[in-house]
Amino acid sequence: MKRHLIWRQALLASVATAGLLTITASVAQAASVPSGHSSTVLMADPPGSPSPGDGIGKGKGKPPKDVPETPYAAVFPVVIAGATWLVYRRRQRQRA
Amino acid sequence: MSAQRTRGWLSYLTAFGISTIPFVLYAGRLVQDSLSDVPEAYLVWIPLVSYFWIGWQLQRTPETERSYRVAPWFLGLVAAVGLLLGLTLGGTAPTRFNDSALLLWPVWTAMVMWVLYGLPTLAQIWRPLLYLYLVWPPIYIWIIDRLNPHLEAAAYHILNGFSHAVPWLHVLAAPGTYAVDYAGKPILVGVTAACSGSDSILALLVLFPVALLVFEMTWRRKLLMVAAGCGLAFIANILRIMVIFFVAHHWGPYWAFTIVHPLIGPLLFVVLVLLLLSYGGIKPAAASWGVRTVAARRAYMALGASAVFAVVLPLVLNPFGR
Repeated sequence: MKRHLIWRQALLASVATAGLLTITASVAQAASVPSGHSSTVLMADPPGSPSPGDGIGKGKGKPPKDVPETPYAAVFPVVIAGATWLVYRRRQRQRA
Repeated sequence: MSAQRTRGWLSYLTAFGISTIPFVLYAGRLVQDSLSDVPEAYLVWIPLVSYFWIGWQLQRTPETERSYRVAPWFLGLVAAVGLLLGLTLGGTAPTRFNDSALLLWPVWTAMVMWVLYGLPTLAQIWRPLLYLYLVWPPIYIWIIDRLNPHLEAAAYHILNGFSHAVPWLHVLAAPGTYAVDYAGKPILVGVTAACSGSDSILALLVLFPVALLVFEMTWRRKLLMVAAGCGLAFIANILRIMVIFFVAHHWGPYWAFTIVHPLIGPLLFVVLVLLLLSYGGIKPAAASWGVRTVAARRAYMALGASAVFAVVLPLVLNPFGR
């Protein structure tokens, strides 16, 4: 496959993924599904204050905020399937 | 679409429908987890991927003479009664046998395939049937429990090294916590298991090998691609965290955690998968989805009987209605 085609596909797939992310994140938020853990914890406390793991809500600064979660498990399989289909179809056309 | 292909597709859809219906209610937890940020969220994809794999295997191999040593209707009945007993035992003791009903899924699928396509078919689909066992959460959780600590430790090790290279990043006492300087104030950031790349690596380990089926390549090459994918996913994820730190330092927490954090991971994953497939998947495997059809009338009868059981059983044994 030519390089410019790969990057064009990557761009298209990236746009599609961003759309998919937005939709799934909205659905997840609307459904208020339980979150097992937060991937990144953002706190306003200075260093040396209680750690994020055990200090959530106990620090003197602003209360910690969870970073918006990305539903990776909903997105990554679709990415793999979509990318496989794209490359498979292109290879088939090249061989036809 | 030719009539044969239509019949083939209908045959597959019927087979997969009957294989799935008895377990829909038992798989409720998987569906519930599917949009959560937990590693088990991937489990809901296992049956879909497994059925794709079974369908792929069926259409790749020519239809053979069916060899029934027992009548299909009898086989269907035995399978349905076996399933009834299995679900009853598993369903009545959910705390003792955690999600144990799901362990019957591959067995029931094997029986449905046997009834519809004959015994020799099982020799062609045993690998996707084994793969379907991954749907049982304890197996998957066991893998995650052993994989995640190593990924976390490696990620922390590299990020700690990175913190020595830049003056605005500081390692804190608690493992995986960092302070990023922004506008004279420190921002405290915690990097946990999900941030260590386990999501993308698990997706590559569990789903990517099946995607490679559609390309003609040796097992060694497939193994190499999956290993390369896992390695690159880990590296890409470390780069992702570094970029997030960098953005947090220069443009602040809003840009880092609200804009860049949710987007950069999937975008890197798209590029990674496309590059792997483009360079590794050279020759597409031939596919003809119409080669398998259900021709035997008695198989249709067995199918009908099994379908009735498959629809009635979940209603009778609804695990949530107990």
